[in-house]
Amino acid sequence: MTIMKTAYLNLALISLLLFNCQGLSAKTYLSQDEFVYHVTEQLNRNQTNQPVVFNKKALWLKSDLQKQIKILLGHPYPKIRITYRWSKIDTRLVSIWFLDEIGKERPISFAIWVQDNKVQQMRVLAFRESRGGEIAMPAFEQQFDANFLNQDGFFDNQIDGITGATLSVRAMKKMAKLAIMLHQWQAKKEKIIE
Amino acid sequence: MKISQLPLILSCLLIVKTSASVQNTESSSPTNAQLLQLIEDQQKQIDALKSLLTEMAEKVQTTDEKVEATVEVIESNLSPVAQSETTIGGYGELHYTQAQNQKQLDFHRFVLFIGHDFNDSIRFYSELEVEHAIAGDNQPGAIELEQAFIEMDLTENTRLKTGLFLMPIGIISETHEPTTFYGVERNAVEKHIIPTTWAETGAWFSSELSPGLNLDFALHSGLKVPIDTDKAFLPRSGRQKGANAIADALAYTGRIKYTAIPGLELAASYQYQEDISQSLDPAPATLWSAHVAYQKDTFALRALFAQWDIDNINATALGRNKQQGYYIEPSYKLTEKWGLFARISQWDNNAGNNIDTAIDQTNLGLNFWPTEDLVFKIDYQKNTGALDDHGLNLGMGYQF
Repeated sequence: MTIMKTAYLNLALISLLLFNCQGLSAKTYLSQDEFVYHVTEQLNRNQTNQPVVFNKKALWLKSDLQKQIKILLGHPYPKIRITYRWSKIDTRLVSIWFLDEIGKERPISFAIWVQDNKVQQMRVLAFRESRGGEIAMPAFEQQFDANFLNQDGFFDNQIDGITGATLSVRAMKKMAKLAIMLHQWQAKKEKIIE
Repeated sequence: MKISQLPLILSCLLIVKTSASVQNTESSSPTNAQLLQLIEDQQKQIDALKSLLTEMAEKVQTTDEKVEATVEVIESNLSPVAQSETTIGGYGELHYTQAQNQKQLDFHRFVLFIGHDFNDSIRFYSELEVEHAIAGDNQPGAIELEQAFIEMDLTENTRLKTGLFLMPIGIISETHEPTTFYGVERNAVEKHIIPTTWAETGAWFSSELSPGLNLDFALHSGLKVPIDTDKAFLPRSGRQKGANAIADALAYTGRIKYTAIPGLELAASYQYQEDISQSLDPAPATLWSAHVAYQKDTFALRALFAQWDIDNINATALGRNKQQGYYIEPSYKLTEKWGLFARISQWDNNAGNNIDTAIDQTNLGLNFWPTEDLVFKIDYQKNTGALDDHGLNLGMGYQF
């Protein structure tokens, strides 16, 4: 009987291992272009008379900016420049940032639309961690919609976490804060009063 | 100077030059032939400058491409997406316990984890633990492999783990880093009833049925509890930890977990063990547990219930045919860095007898996180019921 059980276990394990592994990479929810398209659509529908067009631009991460990023994230952003999309509605800057941050072991890719110093919308583009994928659920992502940082540097609307996904939630909050910071940096550089 | 301004400047220079030439020849009124010659000369210069401009624009374009290529190469080494395939991390916790008759300092856990991505869909994860600082003969500690498994993505929503993995039961089994929970020591119910940290060897299939609804099923080695001594039929004494684990009788664990509402986790687990003693005196056993973890703004609540049912005459004689426990833990974040908690726990490893052998424990305490990955803790603990004592715990924990 015992031998049969062991054989059954082995068979089950081998069957599962031989299951076709399809070489998946990250779990991808949205592409950068799709996110830009959705944002453009929303802006054209709600906020402007003139069609909004986003342009591509690179923000070079010089040492003074990296210093501020390090204060915010606890580490420098591991790139030389960040390519982002921007547009203007009246005199206001509208920006879209594509940022990556590691949760526990693997990078998570985010898209963040910033306007009026608020995160207007934030979406997970790709998730690569073993656990914590719940951050890509719409109900969780929507907590960032129209959210901004108060004077103490915390989100005005509290972000409710996910048990067992602390590090993924933390990564998402950090990238939202970074996007606001980069937006403000660019607005200041271009002398746009927000 | 921008390239786009170059033609304008060149044109201005030409006009100035032309004006000068005209002024010089004003006195002698140039002939039409001279003017024609002048225009032809200027046209040649314009053509030459145009050619130069085109050449410069091409050079700028080439330089742009070179810069772009260089940046891409540098960033490919910097970017988190292109991080090393092998990762390292860890956590640890130091405890000071002041009980009624004992004061103790203990570096309870020092854990290093190593992960490796074989490719985008197959990865390895491990945790190696030094418990109580020193391991060896007549030493209080141990070196243990806490986890070591291969995880494969089978489809976008299904995964398979094979190896030594933590049981999908309870709240802190899988997420047990000290910065993630309140209290210096882990809660007593997930120690004495669910014997966390509890790893078994086998295969674990996970599926995301819909966003926020996950199903897990694991086929694995079971406990091997002693059937005599004072630790008979206690789950915590039966952990084999993947060390030449007897696999005469298998165990099956299932879990359903719901996390579709931000801040809320609801989960229920069920485990069946064909023979928890794996001896000549069979003892089929079941464990079930359910928990809720909820967080809203600065308030959080955790509650868990777990129960064993062991079908064995000797276990029944000891009252250990039934073992159960629960805890409720509300907490409140005073600021981002400070959090208060209270925890009421009750557990009974002899719940099958007719006498009151349950232990009640109350904890009140404070966590302080100077940074997100470092925590200092203090809590007061009082036991009543079958165990009557109280004490103070201080702790430090970290993860990276």
